[in-house]
Amino acid sequence: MSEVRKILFSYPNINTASSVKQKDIFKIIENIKIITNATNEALKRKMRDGSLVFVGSMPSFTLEEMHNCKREIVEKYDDVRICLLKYNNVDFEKEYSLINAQKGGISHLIGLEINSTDTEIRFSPSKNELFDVNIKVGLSVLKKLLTSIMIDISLYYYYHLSNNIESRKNFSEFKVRKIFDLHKNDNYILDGGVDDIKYLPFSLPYVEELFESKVDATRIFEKLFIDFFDLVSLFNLKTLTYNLNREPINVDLYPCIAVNHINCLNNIVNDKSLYQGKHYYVIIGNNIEEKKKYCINDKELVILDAKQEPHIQWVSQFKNTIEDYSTYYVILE
Amino acid sequence: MSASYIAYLDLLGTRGFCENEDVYYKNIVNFSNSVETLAPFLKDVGKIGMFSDCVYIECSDLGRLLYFLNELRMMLIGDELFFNAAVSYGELGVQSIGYELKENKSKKNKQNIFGVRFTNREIASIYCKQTNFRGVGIWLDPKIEDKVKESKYKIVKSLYYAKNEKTYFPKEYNDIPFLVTDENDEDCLNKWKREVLAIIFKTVYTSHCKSERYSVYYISLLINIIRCCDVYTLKWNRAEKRFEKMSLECELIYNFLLSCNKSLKTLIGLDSLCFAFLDLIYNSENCSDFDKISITEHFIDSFECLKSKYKYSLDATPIEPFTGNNRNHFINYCNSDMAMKFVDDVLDGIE
Repeated sequence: MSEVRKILFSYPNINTASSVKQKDIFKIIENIKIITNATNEALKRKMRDGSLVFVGSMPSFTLEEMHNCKREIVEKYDDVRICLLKYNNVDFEKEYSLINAQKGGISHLIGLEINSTDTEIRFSPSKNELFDVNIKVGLSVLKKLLTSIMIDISLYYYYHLSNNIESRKNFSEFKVRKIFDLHKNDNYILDGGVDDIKYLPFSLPYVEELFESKVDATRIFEKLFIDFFDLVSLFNLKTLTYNLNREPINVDLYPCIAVNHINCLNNIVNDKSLYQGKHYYVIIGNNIEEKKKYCINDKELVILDAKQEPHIQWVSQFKNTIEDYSTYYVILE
Repeated sequence: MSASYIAYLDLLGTRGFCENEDVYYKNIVNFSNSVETLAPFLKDVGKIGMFSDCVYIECSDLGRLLYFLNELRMMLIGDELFFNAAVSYGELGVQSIGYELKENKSKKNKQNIFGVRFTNREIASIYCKQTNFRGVGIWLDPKIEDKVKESKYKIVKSLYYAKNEKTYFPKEYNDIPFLVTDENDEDCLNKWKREVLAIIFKTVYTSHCKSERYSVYYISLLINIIRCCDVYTLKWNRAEKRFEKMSLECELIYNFLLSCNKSLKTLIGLDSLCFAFLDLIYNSENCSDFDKISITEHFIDSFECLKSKYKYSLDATPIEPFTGNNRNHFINYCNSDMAMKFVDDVLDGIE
């Protein structure tokens, strides 16, 4: 799936708008173009300096202006994520009535209200069922919001989660529930009945820290990377069973991250309330402790049995061995 | 008979886009979308023709025409696109040929050709003016200067680099301010100076890496921006020879000049940019004469493009980057300061 996401901006028929309203619309377009350009450039910089090392491809936003929104036009856009509903006093919400979010694989849709003078990002349930959340944002902090949305998307695909639309929607809702379960909701400004919010960008608190001056960007991204992995692991345990044909997880140059991965899984396994008696194995390509044998492409692999005690022994073995191998599998059965 | 104004503009760098079909297509689409978005603003007063990367306009209201052009360049900045335009008196005398579209019904005629024909030779005049204007900006015909002022636009004296057989040389022209300062307009791009200037700096650099004949086009835009910088808050530390305080746009431009001094030494027009920045400081009422001398000394010693060409050849200092009597001020500051230092060196240690 392409990692280009669109801000869909629909505005009323300019021909019939007053010249004052026309000028408002021109200013809106200019401002949002500059901000999306700045967001894309900021992400590229982070990737270049290694902070976003875990991201394989370049995410970016593109602004699509559509006047007199037509059904046949918007159905083509399955990578739309944000619709601009309001800019100061100029209201565009009715222009989106023809979007059918079920079509084209739109997993979540954000209704955005921008204000020139605000300095906050506020989340509330949308009155329009088309949108998963309503976000009121100041122009000066829009870049932070867009950056966090893009990083969430990038992390979703980095962890090889399913491209299937139902999975994406489920993950989006799961993410919101976990933000509350893990008491991370204090990092968000929430208005109104929050039970109906179906989308929150997990990366936002980390991005806000990142935009402060003189921060260790690498440390912040590492923490985000690991915390997001916790989220993914919880999601996978709840909803998915890995199988042998699943694409292997690449360790690349960061074996320490793989160890965190294993430790996190181990914590989940030991949490009876979450684990519900499931069993998991880590398979890597070497003889460490032969308990079961699997063959992939005629190559004999070995599993490390999570039930084996003490687990610290096999984690240590994993640490010693993983540097020689670039991939491993996690199997749940 | 009421006046009529015409404009012709051309998107910059189209030939370069052709190295990548996707880039070309995206840029042309963004360009035409922006023109189409802004077109209704001239609905009752003008008409706009567009083909590929060029636009021609006829309008009876100069103020609205200038607003259209300025908004277009603001809108295109976000797409990292730039144009050069020329505006003058005239009429296009447009006639459509071939297929006629009437009330959304196409009326086929016998010809298998579609397009427009200009019956007024003023289009040739404006086209030549636009082609000769080798800069990013809006070239205003001197004949319409009074009308520009009547339409409440400030005129900015900028310059671009023309070319003869051997070399590039600066030529003055009139433009309207690029970054509009309007304290009542919270949403103007003035808010995003850092981001806007970053786009311009990036474009200058990337175009210079391709060829100096591309980057020279952006000198006009940079001079336009320098002319409108706010120097009210400027504070110079004479002892340490550095700026202690300055407005954001001044700081960005100054840092850009320093970076060019290191990495883009061959940028044609870098000397003019330095002179224009000095000109800005000379016009500042908050800057004392001693500070102006000290800043001048700092520039002429720090910027290779000034030191090598003008330090010992002050007569060669170009006129175009300066306003009023500032060229003479520059020469006098250099002369008196350098002469004083020279004599100090001679007399050093001698009672």
